[in-house]
Amino acid sequence: MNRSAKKTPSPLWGNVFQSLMKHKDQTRIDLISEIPIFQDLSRRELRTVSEILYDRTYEAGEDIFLADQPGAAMFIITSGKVTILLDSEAEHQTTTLAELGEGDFFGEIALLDNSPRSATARAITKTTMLAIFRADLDKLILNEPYIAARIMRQLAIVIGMRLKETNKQVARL
Amino acid sequence: MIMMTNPKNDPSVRTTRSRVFYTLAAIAGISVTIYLLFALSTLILPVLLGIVAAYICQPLLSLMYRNGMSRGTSNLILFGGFLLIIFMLVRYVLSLVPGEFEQLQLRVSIQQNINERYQSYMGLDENLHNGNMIHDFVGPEVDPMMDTFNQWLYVSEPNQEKLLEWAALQDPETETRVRNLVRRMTSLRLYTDPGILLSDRISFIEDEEEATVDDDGSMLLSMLNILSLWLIMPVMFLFFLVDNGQLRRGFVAIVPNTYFEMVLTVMENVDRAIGNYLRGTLIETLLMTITLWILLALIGFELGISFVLALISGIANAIPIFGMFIGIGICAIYALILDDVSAVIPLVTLENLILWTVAVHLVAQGIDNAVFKPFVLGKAVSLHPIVVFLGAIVGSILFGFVGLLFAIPAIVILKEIVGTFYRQLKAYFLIY
Repeated sequence: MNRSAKKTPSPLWGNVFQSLMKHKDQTRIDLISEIPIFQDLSRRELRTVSEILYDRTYEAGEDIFLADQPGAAMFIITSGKVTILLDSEAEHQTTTLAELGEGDFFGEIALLDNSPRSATARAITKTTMLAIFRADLDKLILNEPYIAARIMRQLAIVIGMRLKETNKQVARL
Repeated sequence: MIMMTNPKNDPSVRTTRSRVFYTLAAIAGISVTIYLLFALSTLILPVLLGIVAAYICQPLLSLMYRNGMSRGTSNLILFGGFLLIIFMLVRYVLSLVPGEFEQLQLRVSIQQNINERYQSYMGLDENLHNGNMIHDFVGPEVDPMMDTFNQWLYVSEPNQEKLLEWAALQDPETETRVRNLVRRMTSLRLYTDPGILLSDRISFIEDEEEATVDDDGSMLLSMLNILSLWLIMPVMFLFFLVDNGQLRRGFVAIVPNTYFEMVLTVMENVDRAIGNYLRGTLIETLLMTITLWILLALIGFELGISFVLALISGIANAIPIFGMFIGIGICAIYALILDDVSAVIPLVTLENLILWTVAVHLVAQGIDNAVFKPFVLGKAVSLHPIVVFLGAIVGSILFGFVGLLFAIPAIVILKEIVGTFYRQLKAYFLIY
């Protein structure tokens, strides 16, 4: 009983904001721990990673980025759906390359170089996402190479799988 | 019947309202910032120095972090080091500040030295007659200024007595010296009217005398005021050192989605450019301080004093164009008040010390432009000279010395922000 009394914050000086912030931090870490590219990381490492993630919310139909824009960040979907579109100038039509949902990520090439985006990403429903900025990942590689290496490994696995899938599609054509 | 539009169903209404809200919020924010800048102008220098110091320490923090130190320990070590440097600097500067009677002695000594030099340069005899060609040319302008200067430095009779009483308690050499200085001061004549003694012309205000006697209390109070103002510097340093990107994330959180990636890129580019500029300027300042310290010591300035003068000149050197003149001015004033000089370079005498001071600064500037700047700063500062000139003037008019010191870094930062922002707006197809 005493123990529980100790844990309860005082009504006057209960540091309400601190406990709220802690709760928010925990929720955020729980959220990113379920994302495949962060699955190898411990909670301490997840806390470090969470410090370089930006929360973004997009309305249905809102463009996340357009093809040919410079790419600077990778996006991880935490809720909602996103479509990846390719505009064909010759045929004046738009092809849907993929539809992505919770836990998926896209725009990963932006983390590797600053080449323009190869396709357009658009939110289908109201979508919340976490964004990783290239420069922040570069700093993570310098400061926390162990964490960064495991993220990059997961990234490489997913990129490899996507390449294999593309090869299969090309072969079918 | 009035039909109310539900903004949830009408995006255009929502967009318009958002625009109005954000525009008003931005105007209010900018207005409050400008008002606070002027209202709290005394805080600008300590706040900026704290932020700049924290910014400069970031690579060091990363290095410590990379080498296995925890963030908390790294912050603690850097903060401790920062406090230690400030403490040592303040202690050193305070040790150079003379006491009440030393100040009076210095005042009389400065007056004596400057009058001697002036009379020597102008070719004036003891009765202030027979000036040379230079005196014929500049005398009518400078003589009244010298009289004003002498009146300003003149020590009142009660204080003269106090000074002589103090000198009587010192060693015989000091006593003789002080007695001679006081005697010479009381026999000073007006340059504009050599027939009249300076002491006859001076009418002292009694209040001023009382203020001198009771100065201790108010001086302590003003020192405490200054100290309390400067306490904000280590606080700002610590705040920005431990920040770890929260401020940046807070700012990015309010950026609309359309500009999200662009703003991140702009911030990164600007951060890199400012970091390079500030760290480059710091290294340049250190190198210039060391160079000037050696050169000033070579022409006979005492080592401790030459370090302080070199440090001031080195910091002032960060102000393009004007900086060198500030450095020369301060060193020249010191050269004027020196009683004696024993230089390593044999040609240096008390009479030509000012010329040597100017020469030393010119040599240091030459080394700075030929060696330090190209290697340390590269092309970090590529401002047109007229921009530098006008920027420094506008900065000094608005914020005094702080404005003069920070005008050029502010312009460099602004130029980088505007330039990068413009390039990125085009790259993200947001403008043509």
